[in-house]
Amino acid sequence: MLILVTLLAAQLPCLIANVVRGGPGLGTIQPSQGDYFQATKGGGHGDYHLIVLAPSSVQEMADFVFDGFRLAEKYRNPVMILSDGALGQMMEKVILPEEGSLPKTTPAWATTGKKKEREHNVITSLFIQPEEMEQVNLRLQEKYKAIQSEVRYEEIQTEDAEILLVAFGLSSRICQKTVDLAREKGIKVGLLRPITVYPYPYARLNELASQVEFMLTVEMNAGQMVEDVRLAVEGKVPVHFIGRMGGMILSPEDILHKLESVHESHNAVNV
Amino acid sequence: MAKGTIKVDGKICKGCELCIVACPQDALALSMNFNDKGYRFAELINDACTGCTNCALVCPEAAIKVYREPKPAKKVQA
Amino acid sequence: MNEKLYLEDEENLGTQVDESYDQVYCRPSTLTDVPFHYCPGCGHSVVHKVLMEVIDELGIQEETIGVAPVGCSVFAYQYMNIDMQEAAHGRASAVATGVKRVLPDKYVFSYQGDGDLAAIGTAETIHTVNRGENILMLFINNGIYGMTGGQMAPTSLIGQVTSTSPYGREAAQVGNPIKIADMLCLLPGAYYVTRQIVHNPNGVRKLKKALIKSFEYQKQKKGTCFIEVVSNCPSGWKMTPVETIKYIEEQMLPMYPVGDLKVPQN
Ligand SMILES: Cc1ncc(C[n+]2csc(CCOP(=O)(O)OP(=O)(O)O)c2C)c(N)n1
Ligand code: SF4
Ligand code: SF4
Ligand code: SF4
Ligand SMILES: [Mg+2]
Repeated sequence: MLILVTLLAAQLPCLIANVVRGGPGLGTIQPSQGDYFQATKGGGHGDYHLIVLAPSSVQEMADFVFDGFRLAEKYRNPVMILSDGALGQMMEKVILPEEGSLPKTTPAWATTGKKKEREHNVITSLFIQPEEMEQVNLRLQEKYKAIQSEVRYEEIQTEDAEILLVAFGLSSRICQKTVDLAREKGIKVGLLRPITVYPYPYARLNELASQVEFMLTVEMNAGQMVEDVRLAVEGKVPVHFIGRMGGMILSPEDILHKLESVHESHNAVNV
Repeated sequence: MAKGTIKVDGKICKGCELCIVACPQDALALSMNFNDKGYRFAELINDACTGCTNCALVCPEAAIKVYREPKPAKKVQA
Repeated sequence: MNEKLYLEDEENLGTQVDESYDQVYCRPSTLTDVPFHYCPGCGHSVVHKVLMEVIDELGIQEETIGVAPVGCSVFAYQYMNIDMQEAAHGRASAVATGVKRVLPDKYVFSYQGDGDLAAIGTAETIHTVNRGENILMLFINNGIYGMTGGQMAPTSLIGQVTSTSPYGREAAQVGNPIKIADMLCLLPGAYYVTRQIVHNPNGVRKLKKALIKSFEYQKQKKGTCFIEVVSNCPSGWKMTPVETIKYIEEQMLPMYPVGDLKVPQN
């Protein structure tokens, strides 16, 4: 984390792949989404954000390497691919992005040897004067504002949805099956999958909050992203949670049961 | 022995005295004056300097310039 | 006694110099004009100065990239007028590895203290040398954590009183001083390993030669050059700068003898 924050404060572009396993500690080697807080809310010191991409397929794992480097260069900010132990080992057909599609120019701030016509370039994360450190922070905050425009998400059958599942990465793939199972039973369920978990699709979730009865957040952790969903809906609808921890994976049926029981309790109240 | 002399940038000297002990001619001492950082700075106290550069080599502040009388051969050439 | 006790800014300093005299020594031009923040008499400043002098003489200011450590020399880049990076504590040689691999034809050096290189950065140090990275590693061994208030370092001497060994370092409790330069000699990646000093003029002259050699070896892509400088820390050692000379000679050098530890074969 120290190194990560050093890179960030020195505004060095880089891409970090976090293939999450069950924790805390040495933990398990089975898939988990327990690093959501660490990836999106910090874990290092200071006010900072990474750009965090959450793939849900092997194709996206490949694509996001390129997208990640592009974003990192564009914003001079570290980017993280937040994957998990299942995606990390999965075999799927992939079309590799075209090689050479990344920029190869050397940026002006790089330490390539001082040229006569310029001052020496220094790459540092040390700003010992608090006045200067505050200015650096203000610039970072400006950058994070600009990064909001990079928000990406995918919607599945949300047009007529009365219930919304919210899930990222591997959980979202399981949720797709739940959507189908529920619709077979006549329950109008949709799914929103954040593709970037920083920046986060707060605005779209807020819109959907006016449409659906409730939301159910599905994660392989004790409930981390659910906090962002609650922030997004601003109390307009109830936000429920189902998850498993330590490397355990939910089944589509587990999610369907939870969904049905919440649905029933809501109807009971409404009667 | 060649004749030499030095110039000390008293503004950046920190009075560490390392030049003084490095000088084989005992030609240096701290001034009774202070610079604006409050340090007594080094200065030449006699004309024994040979321009050997010892003081300048050990000076942590890179505050010393050394000058030397040109070698006689060079003088003839000039 | 002089009447005026304070030196005016614009006052002409030093002696009048006979115009026929040649200038035989001046401040290296690759040093910036920023006055060092180091304590009076600190060896860091001398090493900075000699290093910049060598870069001047070799004419490689535009070709050299340095990596500064965490420690008193964390601001080395304020004084060295070359492109530089500041690494996290202990990681300078890892950052230098990256720079060198991207720019293999540039001269790259790391500059680290003993807390940085021989404590938190031990793994990076050993593996950089083991890979034989084609860089110069400069190691300023003052036997103490200078920056943070004079705590014991792995290099502190037996019996040395520091703020974290107030009764003197005891081997039974914290081990013996680590001679990291000697250890590194065992690694095939180490091409040239030497230990130098800067507390006397001849020491400075020899350090300069070792630096020139190291840059030449780097040009020939020979592997890692490692220069340890047994230096002082007047503030951490609670001594005047002049007293540190005696301490280095009588206490430090028996443990860390000056000279080449590994020289190129043939
Ligand atoms: C990861 C981390 N741990 C601890 C510190 C605090 N720290 C700053 S300097 C230093 C020791 C420096 O000692 P040394 O490398 O010997 O340098 P010197 O000041 O003696 O030249 C420490 C522990 C830090 N900045 N970062
Ligand atoms: S140049 Fe040599 S002789 Fe002259 S003051 Fe310096 S040390 Fe002394
Ligand atoms: S060595 Fe340099 S800083 Fe120290 S007293 Fe002499 S001139 Fe001043
Ligand atoms: S604390 Fe020690 S190492 Fe640091 S600047 Fe002062 S004398 Fe030098
Ligand atoms: Mg030290």
